[in-house]
Amino acid sequence: MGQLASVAESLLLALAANGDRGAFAELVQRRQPGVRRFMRQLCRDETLADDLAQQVFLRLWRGRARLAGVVSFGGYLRQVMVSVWVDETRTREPLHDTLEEEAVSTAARLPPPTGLAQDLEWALAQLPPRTRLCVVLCHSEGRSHSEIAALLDLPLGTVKSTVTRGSATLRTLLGAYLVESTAPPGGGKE
Amino acid sequence: MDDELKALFAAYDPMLEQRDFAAALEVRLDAMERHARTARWAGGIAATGVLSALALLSSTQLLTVFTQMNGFANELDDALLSSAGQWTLYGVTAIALFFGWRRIRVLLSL
Repeated sequence: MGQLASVAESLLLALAANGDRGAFAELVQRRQPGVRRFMRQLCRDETLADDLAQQVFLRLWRGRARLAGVVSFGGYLRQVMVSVWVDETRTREPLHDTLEEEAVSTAARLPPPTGLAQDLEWALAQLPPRTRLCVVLCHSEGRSHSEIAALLDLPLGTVKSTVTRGSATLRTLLGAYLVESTAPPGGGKE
Repeated sequence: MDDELKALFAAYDPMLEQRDFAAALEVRLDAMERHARTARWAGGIAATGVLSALALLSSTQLLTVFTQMNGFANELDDALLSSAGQWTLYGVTAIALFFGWRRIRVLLSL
């Protein structure tokens, strides 16, 4: 597997599309931190996040024949990640947010700081699922509003207002970090 | 304002353990492959069963038509009829399996 470390991703995709487990393992190696990070931000629970990240890769392997024709693997992977998360929320909690839910979330207050990672995960968990997804796609994945709208099949206006509302809630909940310009309160690091 | 939030997200580091994740994924991939292989074999066996049943059915039908042909039964004695019928049965079954095997192989390679 070590000799694949320097191989271009497009070649790895072609090999994986032909059923090469080694090439797929290398793809997993390269992409898993981003996928797990994404899931962790969305669900806070470490075990569930890893389970969902594995589901992403299992889904990729099941549909590996499609990998050969993928132009942007990053975009394709993001689609699968979102799809796995949306399926998960469908079984657990509704994806349709309401203003009431938002109000309840905003009412929550930050517990004593425990470190940026935990506090950010906690703050994200206060957001309703769809808002959380939009905020993570926007601020963590760096996607534009129009890209998020296309990805989630939502009207652009809905995405804009959802991201704005979610960002405002996050700013309220994580005010201490923002005032100190991303330095954790009390100088504590994760 | 959003830049501050983006900076917060950029600083987010959940400290992920890579080895455990890869090992667990390998196990799940193996299980998925095994399951897919079992499903392919089950599909192949079911297809063989259906094709064999169809072959038997069609040869039996053919035999019935064969024996009911006008005047044929009267011209051949029972032994010859039985032998011809059996050989017809074997022949049609072999032909059906010969052509059916290609379908079964396609199913197995899915």
